[in-house]
Amino acid sequence: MSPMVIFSGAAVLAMALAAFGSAYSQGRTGAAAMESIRKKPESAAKVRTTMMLALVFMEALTLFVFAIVFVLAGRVTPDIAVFTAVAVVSMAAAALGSALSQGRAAVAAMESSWREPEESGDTRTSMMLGLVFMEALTLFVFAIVFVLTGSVDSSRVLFGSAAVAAMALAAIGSAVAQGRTTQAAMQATWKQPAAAGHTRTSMMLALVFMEALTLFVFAIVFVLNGRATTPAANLFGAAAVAAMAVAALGSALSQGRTGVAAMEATWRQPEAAGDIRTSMMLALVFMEALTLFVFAIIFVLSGMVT
Amino acid sequence: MPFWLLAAHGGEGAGAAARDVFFTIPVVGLKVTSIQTTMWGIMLVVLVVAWLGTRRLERVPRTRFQAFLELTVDGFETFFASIIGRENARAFLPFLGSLFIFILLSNYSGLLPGAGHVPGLTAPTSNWGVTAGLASVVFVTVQYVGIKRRGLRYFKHMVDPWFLAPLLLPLGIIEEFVRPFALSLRLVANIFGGETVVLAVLMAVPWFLPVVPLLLEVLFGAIQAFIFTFLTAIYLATAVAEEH
Amino acid sequence: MEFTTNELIWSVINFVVFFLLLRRFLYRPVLSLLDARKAEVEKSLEAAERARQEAEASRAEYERRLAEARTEAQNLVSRAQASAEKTKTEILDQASRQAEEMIERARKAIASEKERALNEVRQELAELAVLAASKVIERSLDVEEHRGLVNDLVKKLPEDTRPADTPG
Repeated sequence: MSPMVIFSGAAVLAMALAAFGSAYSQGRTGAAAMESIRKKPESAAKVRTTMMLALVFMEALTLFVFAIVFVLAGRVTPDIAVFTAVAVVSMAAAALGSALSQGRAAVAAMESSWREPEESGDTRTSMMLGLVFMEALTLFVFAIVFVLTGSVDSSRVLFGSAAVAAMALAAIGSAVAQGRTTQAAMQATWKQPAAAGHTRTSMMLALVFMEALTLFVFAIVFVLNGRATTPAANLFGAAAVAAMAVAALGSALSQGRTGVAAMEATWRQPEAAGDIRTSMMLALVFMEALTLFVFAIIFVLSGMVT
Repeated sequence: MPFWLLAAHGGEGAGAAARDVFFTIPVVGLKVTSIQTTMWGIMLVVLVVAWLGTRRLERVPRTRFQAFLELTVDGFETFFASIIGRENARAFLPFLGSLFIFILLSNYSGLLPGAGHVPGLTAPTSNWGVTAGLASVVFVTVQYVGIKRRGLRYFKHMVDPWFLAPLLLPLGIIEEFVRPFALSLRLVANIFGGETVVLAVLMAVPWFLPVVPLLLEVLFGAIQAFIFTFLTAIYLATAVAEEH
Repeated sequence: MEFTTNELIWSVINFVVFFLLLRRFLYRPVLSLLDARKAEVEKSLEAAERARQEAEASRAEYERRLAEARTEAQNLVSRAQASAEKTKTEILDQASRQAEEMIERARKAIASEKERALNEVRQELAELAVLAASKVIERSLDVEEHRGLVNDLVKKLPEDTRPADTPG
């Protein structure tokens, strides 16, 4: 099979996946916006602005996949055909994860818009913040694909493919956790409009931790990329990034639960928002540490593998 | 920067300019690189601004400049007071405030045109050594403040209750060391990752699309400086807090 | 993303220097200024509060005095009214008393005048009667017989023309 056939097949699959994710979430967002306008026709203009912003973010995700397909198409060689194929599909998977989570957050934002029209500004700001974080996850996968494309050769295809797939898995994990947390924050915004500021700060801090998990995978890929020069290091690198991805996924899902619970606690007990936030942060630090242990062990071991 | 430079730096991308050594300080053998010059530049700017602003402090602020500095300091105090109480906030304000400014400007220095590729300009926080240094300072400060304020009682949480001490002590010690590790890695991974994203998008699609990651970086640079300082404040407050 | 000890050492040195200088040139002066201003504001607020309280106190004092003066004046007026009333009553009483006395006196004078007049009339009448009778009977009676005759006559007179104290 010619390398271009492999790549093209993967590329169309990737584009389809990404487009599906964006379209599905945009559809849900649009429907939620319609419902919101039906229930509170007087705030239609505000709902429309919020909806447009959300749709733009989801649209951009597919554009990023398109961009990476475009870039890689000019660089496909027989040596790295497999890598390019895995890379575009990984990119699409990350975009899909981001899109679905953004959809979840946007739908909740639409509900919040009609339940508490007075606070639609707060709702929109919090939603934007959440979407930005989820957007960034796909961008990190984009960056890693880009960087690896410059350095992967025939001897490092295994590592490179594992690395982009690992990044995608970690990004999906982070996206799921961030999506749920943002959704809970949206609900907290209309259930307790007075504590909207507190909710947003706590949400942002939680999202930062979930974002960091994907970035730890990013970092380990970078470190290993500089060291994966031998077949043994290539194999080790592939295993290591896979391990990191699994660890990050686990941490992310736990952090997601903590984030959701913290948001609920904040609207039920707004006066304890500060305490809840500090406790949440300490808990998130512990879950993050679990992934960091894997990071540390890989970092140490990679120096020994030759 | 042309595409091939990425590969030329062994795929390291942004931050590779840190390897350009300008000169080595004799005897101690410390090398001065772009990262050091950037840090010095940031320090110089901030200190000159602070010096100019506080040279003639007036009881009634006559200049917007003085009002700006006062607002900054007062804003820091109010913010930290909301996390760790007014007393702690006052005591740790210079440390936390300096940390925030240092990290924020270090993060933003990576957004300047040519950062990471022009000699003398590399975002310090995109290097793990730098963030590890900052995290070490935090680690030492937390231990020092804890022991100074509470003496041996500072270690009580690691051996209380006593029959769980064999389990709690190693966990407590590991936790103390995981904190700076996490602090440094979270910061560097974010800043470095962000820079790489900007670079990658810039090279893939030079028009319009790079605005997205650039704006993202403006937000994330501030958020990361914020969370580093926020966590440091919590660690300091926990270290000095008497039994909960 | 590299881990270099060189950068670690540099960043520790740089940050510590940065922190010490910034504390010296930014935080300490600005914080002490803010504290001084806070103290000053508190002081002036306190002074304003004290001035307000003083003003309040003197106003209360003034109002108290005013009320006192007003009561005083009221008292004076009512006292004057009372005494005027009393004097008026006294004068009226006196006047009516005098009037009554005068009437009484007049009445007594009239009564005694009437008595005297009646007595005189009676005397006249008795003498006239004696005269007339002696003339009629042409006999001379002694005075004692006359008197008895007159007294009988008088007793036959109607009640109201009888003298109050008929001698003998």
